[in-house]
Amino acid sequence: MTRRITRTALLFALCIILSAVESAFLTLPTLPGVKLGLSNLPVMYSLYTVNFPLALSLCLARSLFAFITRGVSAGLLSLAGGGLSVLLMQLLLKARSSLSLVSVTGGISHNLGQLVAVGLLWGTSSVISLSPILIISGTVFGILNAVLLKATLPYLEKIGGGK
Amino acid sequence: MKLFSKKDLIILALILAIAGILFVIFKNGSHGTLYEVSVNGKEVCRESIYKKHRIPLECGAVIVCDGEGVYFEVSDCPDLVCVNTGRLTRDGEWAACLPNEVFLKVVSE
Repeated sequence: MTRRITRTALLFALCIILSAVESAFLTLPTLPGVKLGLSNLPVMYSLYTVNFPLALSLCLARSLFAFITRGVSAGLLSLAGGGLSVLLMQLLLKARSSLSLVSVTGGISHNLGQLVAVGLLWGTSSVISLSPILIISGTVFGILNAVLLKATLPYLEKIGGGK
Repeated sequence: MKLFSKKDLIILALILAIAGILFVIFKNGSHGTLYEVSVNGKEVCRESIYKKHRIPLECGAVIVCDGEGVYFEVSDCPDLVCVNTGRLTRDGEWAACLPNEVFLKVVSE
């Protein structure tokens, strides 16, 4: 039990640190909403090596963190994007897809989930015009994240251990 | 755990094709004639784009219309996505400030 709590806490901390690092050094200010999505790495790691409930709880914790630090709409957006992406990634994982496909799906669905949430929140459909950019960025960064996860997995396994 | 599989290429090509089609569909049209500003989902301003105007909003952001285009001049939000979006002139173009929930859009009559 203690082990599980500690592992969840460590992975959550990793999510927060990765997204902080990302927003500090790796943002593209000219393109709205285009992000690397490094904080998806701990979530994917959880899906692959532990289980779906852990990945989902990481997402929920992330949304709660966004809600506390950046307000209601940031929390809702995080929940919409994170929730949708973790569900779809789990489905693809069960269908034995490759790591890249899981990661790309995660990236795209995260982006589109947020986009739909923005549209609903503001009652406007014009945000949909961003979808091509977000699909492409989700694909490119999804592949990048898959490569990163593959490269770091041996080290993460050493720390985290199995189930 | 495989990093890539062959069918990924087909799916990736499909995804890119869909993005391309969407891009063509959502390509912005001709020069707009009006712009709308809404805060928190409620419209607060709808003006002609040809009239010079400066709109300071309660949240600290300032929207400026220079007689041909509109843009976020300043904002107090941390990410400044709204300001970096730049000047909008075409029908359908928009800029948004997520932290302040301000939405700016160019439309036509």
